[in-house]
Amino acid sequence: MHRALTSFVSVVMFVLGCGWALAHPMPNSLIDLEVGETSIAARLTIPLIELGLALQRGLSGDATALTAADKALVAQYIAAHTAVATPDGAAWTIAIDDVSIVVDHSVGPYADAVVLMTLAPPEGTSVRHFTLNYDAVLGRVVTHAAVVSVHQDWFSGQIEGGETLGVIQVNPVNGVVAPLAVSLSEGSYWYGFVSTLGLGASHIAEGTDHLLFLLTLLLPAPLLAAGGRWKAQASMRATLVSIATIVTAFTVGHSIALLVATLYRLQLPQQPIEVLIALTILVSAIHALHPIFPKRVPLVAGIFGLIHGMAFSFTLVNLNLSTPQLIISLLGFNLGIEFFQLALVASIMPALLLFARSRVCGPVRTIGAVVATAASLGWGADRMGWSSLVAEIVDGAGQQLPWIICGLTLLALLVWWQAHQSRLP
Amino acid sequence: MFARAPKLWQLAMAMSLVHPALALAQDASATLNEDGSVAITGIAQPGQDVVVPATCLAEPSQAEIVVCAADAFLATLNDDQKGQVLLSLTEENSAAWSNLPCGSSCRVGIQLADLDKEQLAAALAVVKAATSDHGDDGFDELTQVMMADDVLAASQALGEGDGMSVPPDVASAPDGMQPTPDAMGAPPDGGDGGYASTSYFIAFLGTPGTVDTWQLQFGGHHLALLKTYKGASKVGDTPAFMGVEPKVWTDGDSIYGPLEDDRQSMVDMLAGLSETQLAAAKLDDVFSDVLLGPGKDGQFPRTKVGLPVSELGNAQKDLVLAAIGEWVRDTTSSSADTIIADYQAGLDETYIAYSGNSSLSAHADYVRIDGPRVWIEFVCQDGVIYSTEIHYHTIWRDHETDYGAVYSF
Repeated sequence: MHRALTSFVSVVMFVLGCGWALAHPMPNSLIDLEVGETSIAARLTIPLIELGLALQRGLSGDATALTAADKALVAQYIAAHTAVATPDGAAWTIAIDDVSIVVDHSVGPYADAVVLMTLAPPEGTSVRHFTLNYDAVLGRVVTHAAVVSVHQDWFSGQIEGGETLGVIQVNPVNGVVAPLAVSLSEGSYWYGFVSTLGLGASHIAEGTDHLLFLLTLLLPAPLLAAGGRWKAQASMRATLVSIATIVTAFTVGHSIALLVATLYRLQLPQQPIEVLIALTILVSAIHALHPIFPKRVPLVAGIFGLIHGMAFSFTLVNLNLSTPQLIISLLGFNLGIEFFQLALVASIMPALLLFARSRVCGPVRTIGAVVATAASLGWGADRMGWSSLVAEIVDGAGQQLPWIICGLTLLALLVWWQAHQSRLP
Repeated sequence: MFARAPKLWQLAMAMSLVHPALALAQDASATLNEDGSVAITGIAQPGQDVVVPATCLAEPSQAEIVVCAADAFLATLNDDQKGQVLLSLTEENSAAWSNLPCGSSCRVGIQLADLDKEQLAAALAVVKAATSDHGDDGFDELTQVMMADDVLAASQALGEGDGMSVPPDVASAPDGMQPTPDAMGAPPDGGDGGYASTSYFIAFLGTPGTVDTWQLQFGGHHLALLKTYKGASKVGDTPAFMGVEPKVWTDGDSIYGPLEDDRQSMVDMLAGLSETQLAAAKLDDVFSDVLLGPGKDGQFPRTKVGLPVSELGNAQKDLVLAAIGEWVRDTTSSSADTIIADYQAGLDETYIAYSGNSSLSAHADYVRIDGPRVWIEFVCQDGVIYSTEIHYHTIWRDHETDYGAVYSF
């Protein structure tokens, strides 16, 4: 009982310690697991100074100075001190894929050796239940510890993050390093699907830029253009059709881009795409002030959707999934995005329609367009590498979106109520 | 999509390191000398004008002196603050100490930074009453350990040492599986971590008095002090963790090296051994920290390793005893004498061992004294802020009276 508590406390201390990695590098090793369908990708992060003590020879902290001989030495050492077995004792295969040096500069230079491994169970046995026998470094440096975490386990719905499985270390009492028994909960495609659904929704919920783009494009939806200006009001039916068309076109656009980029695992350049997204907001804002493509809004929404879809793909492409997992993830992720997007449009619609039929229609549209312009310029600058206060503010405001929508709706109701009051005798 | 929250958090962390303790004087400076010491100005050793109330010193026993000082401290606090200081005596609270600058995320009690001048003096008076004034041991030593944190803060503020710069890449954390604060759970509490002599915590576990068992807990970055009192007597002086970085610093003619005498006593002890004895004392295992640090309560090795003190000559035994004294003399002299007598009685069943160099001058140089009761470890580690220098960690535990033997680990 007490022992259990003590180990719990020490695990917590280690986890806290990792959280502190930025301020105070921890001298322990990290073993992060990506649990796949038929194998596990493991990433070992070992402080170089501790590895040097174990190898009884210093290794250069200079990543470029890591010789082939050093790499081979480290690979051989790790392989000799890592064994994985099924619960029945059948050995897994272990392949060392890469050895490199990573230097953390957050508090002085602090170098880690990073070793990538693939762990595979014997044919016909599960990747989810195994015993990890590991004593690299800690077998000799007895004060060392290795924190084992699941970094990704798609089948159990863990897409991002690190759940600590345990800490491997010497028991000071008897000097023994106990193996770590791992038994991951049985996952399924359903868990994977549900978690990617959530991932899609939270992704767009946090993506203030995507939301602002859509809202800006919808801003003039209740209006008709004439002579290069926004003039007459469209009918309610025409407005609803227009909104539905724009949203659908945007969805089609980003779905296609997401599908292609993810399935072909395209490594698209992130920065230019993020800058282009800022540009789509700017163009939409200008259009909200002065109609520049009144007849072609769905087409523009579709094309801009392609750009936004490419940005969505970054998350999935980096997940390292099998093709069936990827296809299900795509479906879940995209549906998550759609659900959130529809919820947003539905919630902003009352305010949009009420404002359109009020005296303040013009000013509201102008303010909206100006805010969107400022935000797009801010983001643009930020993504070009000039840190921008505007971008920080807009991102912060984006997290308060439900309150902003509530406020706008109330304001719209107030304006509408006042207009009706004044019409009464 | 730019996941900004974690990056802002990282930036805030980096900034909090660059602009630490506001308590630090404007003119504070710290510069690394070529000999590895640090020259400082404008940093004062905390607690130098602290006095234990005369009425308390008149109490008949040492435990009662501490209780009196504890009551005097509590009398200066409001109810809310009292609630932070007076905690229940549980294993979880007792074990809430660390060797990291992790502030309240790994400690309990009230932070010195949250006390006014009078309250602070009263708090440190409790610590002073519970420790010794034996040369530069005890209260002097531990307040120097606290001062070292202000030296580190000044070094960072001035861009001295080599861990100063805001990392250029905080905003572009590498992809993949690097642990980030949000991935590893909640970030540590607020901005109370970092290096500062005010980022120390005092707590009373149980109610100070001469009836129930209670513990005085005091600590911060490189310090963890835990004294257990039962009735009118003290029943536990351990665990007592100390560390220090930088290892030596100077202010004009004043030289501060709170753990140098401790280290020297161990160096002398090893230097007194013959070649054969030294070989017998050397361990194959490597220690880059103390073995029984935070979270390792009650995990004393079942088998003692190294060189049995019973095989030593009298002069060599004296050196072992002198080294032990450097740790035990941190506590009040009345109890220190009793403890040393007991440790001396167990000397023939005590072992000494070391790893790395016996000069205790490089990373992972380590020494241990393990007896029927005594457990002392001292280790050199590469510095965190002054990474070209080593720094020290050391712990004193007692096989029988850790935490006053309140818990059965």
